[in-house]
Amino acid sequence: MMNSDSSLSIKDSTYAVSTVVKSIMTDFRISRPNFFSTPKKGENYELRADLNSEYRDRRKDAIKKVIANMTVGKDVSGLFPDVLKNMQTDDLEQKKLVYLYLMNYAKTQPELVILAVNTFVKDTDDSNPLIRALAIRTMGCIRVEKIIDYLCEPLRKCLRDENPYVRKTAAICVAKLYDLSPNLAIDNGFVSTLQDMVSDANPMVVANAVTALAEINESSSTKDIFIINAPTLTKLLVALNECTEWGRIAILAALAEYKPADSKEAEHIVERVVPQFQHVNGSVVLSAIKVIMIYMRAIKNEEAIRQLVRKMAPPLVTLLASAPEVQYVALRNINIILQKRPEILANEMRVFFCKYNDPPYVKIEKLEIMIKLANERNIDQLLSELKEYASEVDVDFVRKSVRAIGQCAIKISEASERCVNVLLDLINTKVNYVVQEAIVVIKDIFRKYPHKYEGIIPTLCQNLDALDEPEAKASLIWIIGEYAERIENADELILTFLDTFHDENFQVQLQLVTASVKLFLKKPQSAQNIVQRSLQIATTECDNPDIRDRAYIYWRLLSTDPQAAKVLSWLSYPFMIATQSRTDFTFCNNCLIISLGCCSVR
Amino acid sequence: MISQFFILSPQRGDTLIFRDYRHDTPRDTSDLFLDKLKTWHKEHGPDQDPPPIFNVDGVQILFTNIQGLYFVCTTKFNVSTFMTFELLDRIASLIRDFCGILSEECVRLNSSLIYELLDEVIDYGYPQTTSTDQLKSVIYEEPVLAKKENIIIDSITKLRAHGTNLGVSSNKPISKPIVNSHDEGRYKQNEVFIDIIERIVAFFASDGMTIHSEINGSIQIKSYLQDNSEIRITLSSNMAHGRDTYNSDDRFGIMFNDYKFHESVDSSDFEGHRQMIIFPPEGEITAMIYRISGDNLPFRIFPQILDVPESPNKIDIIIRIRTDFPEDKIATKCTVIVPLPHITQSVSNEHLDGFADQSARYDSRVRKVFWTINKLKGGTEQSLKIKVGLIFFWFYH
Repeated sequence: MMNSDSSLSIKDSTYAVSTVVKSIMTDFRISRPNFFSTPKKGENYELRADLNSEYRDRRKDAIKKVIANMTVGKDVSGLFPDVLKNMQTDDLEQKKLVYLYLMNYAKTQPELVILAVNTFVKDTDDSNPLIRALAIRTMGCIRVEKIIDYLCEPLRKCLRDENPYVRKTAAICVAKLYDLSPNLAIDNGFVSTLQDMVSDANPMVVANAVTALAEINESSSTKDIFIINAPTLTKLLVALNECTEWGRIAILAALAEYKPADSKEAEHIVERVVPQFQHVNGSVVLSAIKVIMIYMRAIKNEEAIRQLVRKMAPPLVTLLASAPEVQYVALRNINIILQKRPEILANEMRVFFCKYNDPPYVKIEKLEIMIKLANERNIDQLLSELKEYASEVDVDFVRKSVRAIGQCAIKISEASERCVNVLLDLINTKVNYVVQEAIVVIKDIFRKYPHKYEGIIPTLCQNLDALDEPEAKASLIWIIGEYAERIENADELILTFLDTFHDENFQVQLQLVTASVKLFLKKPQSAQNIVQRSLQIATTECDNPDIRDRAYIYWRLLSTDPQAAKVLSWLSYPFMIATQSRTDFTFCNNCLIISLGCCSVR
Repeated sequence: MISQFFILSPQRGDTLIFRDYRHDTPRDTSDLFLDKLKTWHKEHGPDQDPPPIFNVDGVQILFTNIQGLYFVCTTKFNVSTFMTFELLDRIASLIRDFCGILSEECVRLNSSLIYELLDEVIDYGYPQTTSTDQLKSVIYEEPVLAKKENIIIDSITKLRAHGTNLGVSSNKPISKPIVNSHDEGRYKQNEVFIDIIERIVAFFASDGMTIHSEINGSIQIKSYLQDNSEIRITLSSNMAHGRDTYNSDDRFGIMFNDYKFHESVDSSDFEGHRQMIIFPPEGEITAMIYRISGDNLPFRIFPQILDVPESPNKIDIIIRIRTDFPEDKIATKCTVIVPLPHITQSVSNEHLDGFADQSARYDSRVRKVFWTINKLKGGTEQSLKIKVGLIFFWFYH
């Protein structure tokens, strides 16, 4: 039988309402197609029977089963009214279970949730603070538009509750409300109450108020919701030492957003934050480090900065002694910190040596950090370590290690000779990818230190046959062209490459053209036909327009004025700076400011 | 902040616990996670897990593998990853505290208790409190204990957990749950358990010289004490704290590089008299984490590679271990893992000292020799000779 009047009013008694609802539900079930209804119907049917049983224990067990089914993903939404009936109870366990169910299904059955509102509002007045907090927390989680109006009055009461547990839950609830309806939250004065709560006596309340305000500030358009001034600052610093670790993280995050008025204030705050380095929770330590890094920009006192830098090193290193996942996150964050201030970990190179069982992503990260930390004092240690890495099994890692040796040579000029020796040893191992990578790196070293290591060129030329990668070939050709006057058989070498010009990669072809021109300029007699041949091929048989144009320019230049061409080729190359993967400077700064969070890991 | 939290069991892909805090991510994220896990295991083998943070359709997924169960968080915001991993670990130890042990069966039996915990621990995606003490007073459910047989299996899984080698312990792992403060009738014993766990990481060069070594230690306290009584722990007096790593002088004792304390520890007297005053909350806490670097290593390893003169494709590897600790101490269950080159064809082992209490076997899948010594006495030397046959190549020079 269909009930013609389907509008529900809150004032109806619970029993009458539930029967009405039940009949609607029955009708709804008939109209829905039932394909696999038999087993499900049986289970839900049994649960319904248990939920309505007169024995309290059976009802409670039934609710637990319903929750279990809900977790697995089975649809128990049809039992809504029966579960709802069990909401009014003195048993706190049972109440919590029913609330859990309601939170989950509120979105799918908003009309029925209205029935629950009465009980919620009553519960916010209960004598037990746990029940008050539970009610307000659950009401905030039910994201149904119609509930909001009923939420305001209880929330107002709970924000001023005498029990701090209730107050702290209410603070988070304001954030939930703001998410649903920002205007309502502001118009009802909740946001301003929240701002007052930052000065609450209980540190947990302060922490939650700060968290809620931070989130509201984040999603608001004006960004003026949460502004820290001098008295709030003192309150925050006091609460910092008294609240739980998670609260400390929230407060430290808020402090990071604050701009200190002057150097003295910055130092004062930093003094209060530094003891947080001793906390056992790694994320508290990391948040504290972030705050200190940001405030260091405001501190003018050089001595104070030096002290801080020294204090920051041990906690950062201790962060590494954990499971590989956490280690990876710590390493990424340290990478960013070092880009800003490399002096922090200047003496701690050995901590970053790779362990044999580190996963590959950790090893590559450690390698990058080690290069940042390289200086004259620790370069020997680093070089012997890199040499060991170059004989490992993982090809990607070996390549990166060889490149790292090159970067060290470029970064530290005193050590370049040792680096070159190590590279020569590696070339002598005759391992294919090592040799190729080493030649690319040596080309860069030659660019930075021209004419310093010419003695090794014969060894390089001996390995010509081993090269098959375009970058390696291009590097060797560049070396031959650049140092053509030192190489006896430079013309033969260029000729061998010219034979296979068409099969080569674009960058190899380009280098060949340039190298042959240089060869001609240095040894005009022997290289005449070589340069003619290469320019011929490049201009007529090459598809790439860039190479063709370059060849034409050279040809014209050589035909008109060979002397001018000489000057062109022998221009000294610009000074090479160390090439390292480094994140953009502003991005790095912003990383520190936003958070040392997920974005720094990606 | 955190949008969803769930616990998965990888064997059948079951979701054991699922909690949505912010309702801004789709419900089927657990399936997405399982898919990723399956594809990764297919490519890289079942022992390797995918990277701990990855992004699927704009949702960040962070997870850890604890005791074979996957604890997963999803979020759409730029949360602090460190905090999230710390939170996942804490939730695992809370479950351990309240239910006795952490295992799939236990989670299934106590799902409503765990939901109650999750309700209190995380609100709207923000962690509130993970202290067992504070949670005790607001949790009302009773834990259901898992059956006895499973405890042994779980303790074995615990032994294989990452990084911890509990060695031979005469005690079973403690599996009692802490008792609710609402239940007056149960008989409680006043007990407290203190464990000191240390890990040494050392780097040796190929000639046996030590490049770098570090000890990472922690003091864990598991307390079943009735009321918050005061515990004083004093460490032996010849210790110093120096943050300057260059000045570590081992003659005068142990130099701490860094230490950190739990909130409930009063460490004001630590610098002076090495004393910590603790009012331990019920449950398990890490009271102190410390780091020491120095050269005092208990073992030294000297490897040697020799050519066999008659056969060019055979080499001998001799590994010598020298123990540097006092003679009355014995190290138990030592395993030495020797990776061999990828052109290894055949391996045979020969023990050079007559002790019977050791064994060496070669695992051809991973190309490593595993040398296990059950009891290693202080002040002795042990050696193993590995005869390796390599695939024979002709080289043109």
